[in-house]
Amino acid sequence: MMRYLGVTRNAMMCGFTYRLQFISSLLGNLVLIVVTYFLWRSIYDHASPTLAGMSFEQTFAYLALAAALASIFRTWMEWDMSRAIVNGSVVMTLAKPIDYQTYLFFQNLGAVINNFATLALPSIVFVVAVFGIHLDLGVNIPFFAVAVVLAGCIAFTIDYAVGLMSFYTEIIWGLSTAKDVIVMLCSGMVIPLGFYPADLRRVLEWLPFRAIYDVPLTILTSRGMTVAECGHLLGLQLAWALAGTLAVKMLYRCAIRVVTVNGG
Amino acid sequence: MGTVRYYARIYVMIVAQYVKARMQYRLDFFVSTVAMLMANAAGILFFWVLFKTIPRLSGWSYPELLFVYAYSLLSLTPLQMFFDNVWQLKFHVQDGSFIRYYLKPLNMMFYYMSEVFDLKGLSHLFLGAGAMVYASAQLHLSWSPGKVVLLCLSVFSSALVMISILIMSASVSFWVLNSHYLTIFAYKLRDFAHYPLDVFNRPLQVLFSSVVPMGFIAYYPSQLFLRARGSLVPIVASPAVGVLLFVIACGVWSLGTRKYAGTGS
Repeated sequence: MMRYLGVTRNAMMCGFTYRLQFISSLLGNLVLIVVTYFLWRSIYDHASPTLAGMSFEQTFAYLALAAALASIFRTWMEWDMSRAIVNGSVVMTLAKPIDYQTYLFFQNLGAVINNFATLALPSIVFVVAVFGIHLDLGVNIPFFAVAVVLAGCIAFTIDYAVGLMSFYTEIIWGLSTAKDVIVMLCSGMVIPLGFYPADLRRVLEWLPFRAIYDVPLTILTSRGMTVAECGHLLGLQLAWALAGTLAVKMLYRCAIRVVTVNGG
Repeated sequence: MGTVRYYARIYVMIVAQYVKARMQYRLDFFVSTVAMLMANAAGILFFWVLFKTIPRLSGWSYPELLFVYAYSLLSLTPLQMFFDNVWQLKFHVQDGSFIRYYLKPLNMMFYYMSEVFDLKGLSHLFLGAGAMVYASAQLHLSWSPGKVVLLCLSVFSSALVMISILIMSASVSFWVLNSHYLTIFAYKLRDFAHYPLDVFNRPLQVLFSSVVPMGFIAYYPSQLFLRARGSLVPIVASPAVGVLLFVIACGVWSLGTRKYAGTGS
């Protein structure tokens, strides 16, 4: 365990060497939130005070927090994985007496902690300070915290699966872009799932992607969620996290056979 | 004229080599093309979902927004197809391989950009053209030959807006080594080109029309063909903005290349 935490520490230190990256990523995030605010303000101003059962305050809180969560989960891990395949350095990791997935998980954890401290936290402070978030907070806060952790695990699993698939394609751009688009559209990241037509929503409820954004955000922004309802949503996330972990373990078994590294 | 023919011939030769090299990763080419199509269709889906709930967005109807979106896809096509190598500039500058672009009797930006020819950019073109035809039909726009020529000219100029912004942001790597995130940030701003500027408040509208001129990628020029709103000045000026920006971007680029000293190895 300690050696894995060492990996996390290393990843955090590496992240700190690129300060310009923080500033521009943070700026990008803030611009995104400002644009989201005006876009939805304008949508609500020209329509009714509640759309799809959500007030403007709820929708904005949902989407602003989605942007904050997205900045936490975006670690470019699958890019690093594919780079390691192309330049061959992956063998150095595979030769070590450690589990590849666990190693990447803890390395990713370092990046996630960095992202939380340098991107998500300042973004949330900015939103609260500039726009204010009007939500009924209470019992849902601890549930939200657990939901975010589980969401992070699911996001990791998906990124890891995409990284493993690059063992076959060697280049990651297409896979990673496709994954980003699917997650973005199916998870509620850019438009709350409540806005989707009922048929489409029923399909999305059977997919794992909503467990990343929609579940934690619904727990936080819905009024009058009961403990049982929160528990049900967390159970759903847990099921997806376990199923995903099993699936990537199997994918790893297949993918590891095709790794070819030329010379050294 | 001779120069143009010379450069065109060289371009074809370089691109042919590039396509051969890319054939090594056929599966990736297929996946990338599909991914690119999906990414572009996602924007349309966003508006489609939104307009299931609301009839208008700040006075804009669904086909009007679709037209603006289609225009933005068309004007982003040349960037994707001919200037995609701009993303690699940071790596070439860092590891010193950029030095080889000094050693050929060619325009450096031409030589550098010619090394990547991204066929999947065609997905912008097809989706953009398809969406524009659909939106025009919905809006009952009439297309005279003159208007088509105007469309080509204005798309050409709008295309130069994003190209110039990316070249300038990537050129920063001649001075500061890690400029990649600046380029990513600049590229992210492109997403705001899809929304009508009038949803924003006044300061942001001014910002998106001046310092980061995203409004000139699609919002202003597409109003040459839709009914115009607000001031006519930026709409009429829009075809000149791209050309002007490109001249500035070339200046920044050549300043950077003169400043660059290689890595010494």
